[in-house]
Amino acid sequence: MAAGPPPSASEAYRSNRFVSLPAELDPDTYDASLEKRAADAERLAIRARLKRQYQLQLNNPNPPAIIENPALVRWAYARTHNVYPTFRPTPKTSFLGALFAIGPLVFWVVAFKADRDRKEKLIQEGKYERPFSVF
Amino acid sequence: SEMSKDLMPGPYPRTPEERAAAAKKYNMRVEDYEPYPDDGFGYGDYPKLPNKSFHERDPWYQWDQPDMRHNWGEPMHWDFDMYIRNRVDTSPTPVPWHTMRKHFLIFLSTMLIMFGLGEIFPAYRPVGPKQYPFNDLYLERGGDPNKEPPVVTHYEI
Repeated sequence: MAAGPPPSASEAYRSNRFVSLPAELDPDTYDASLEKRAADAERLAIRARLKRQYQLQLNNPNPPAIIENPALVRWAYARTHNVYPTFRPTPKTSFLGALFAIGPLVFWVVAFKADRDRKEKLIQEGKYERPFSVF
Repeated sequence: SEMSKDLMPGPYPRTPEERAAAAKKYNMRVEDYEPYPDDGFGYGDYPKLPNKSFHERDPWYQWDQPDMRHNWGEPMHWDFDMYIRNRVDTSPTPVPWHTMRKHFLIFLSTMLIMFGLGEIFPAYRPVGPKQYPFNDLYLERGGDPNKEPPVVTHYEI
């Protein structure tokens, strides 16, 4: 039975979690509707307003010592100070916390103890063959 | 810091007014603003931006910060420090990702199976026990120097 035709580029190049689709295979590139253009215009307006604010501060004859970026401040705040107030113990977070925090600890404790006990038993019985012996 | 509390990230927005206020706070359109799902993971109202690294951004546009390819005031991705140009790259690959994964898994499994078979069925030239000089290392093994060492011959003529 002959194999079917090879997969087309768009079938081979499916969307995945790790890399983006190339622009040629992404349906958004070919979407020239009015809504998309209006949305792009709004985004451009926001971007232009922010750029104007930044350029005014940058090219000021008496520039401030630091031009603080509020987006950066918010990013740092969200990742440090805002995690604990917004955290909530749910089944998912409790399970993940147990898996990643308590799981490895318990696993390695049990593994090392079992290994040591087995070696101790062999030494007591005199059956343990010392590795790395010179002779 | 010196910014007021309502300009800082806060808890997950519940009402549409809170969503609009949060979108305005982060300099985003209300339709674009999408917070992380409220699973209690600690994201709060921080927006969920597309997971695209800075490799994909236009190199020829005049960014405010050219090395970061980032504009002043633009909302930063939660994993911003992962997506910089020294680190994770999500730009489209020349070969489809599924093809790459398939080829890699085929190679890895073939190599592992062959190594496993080599462990189960070893194949090497015949070997004998190691022969030591000086009467089988008589003095080094703690033999008495005054006594005659036992003569050891490893050959037959």
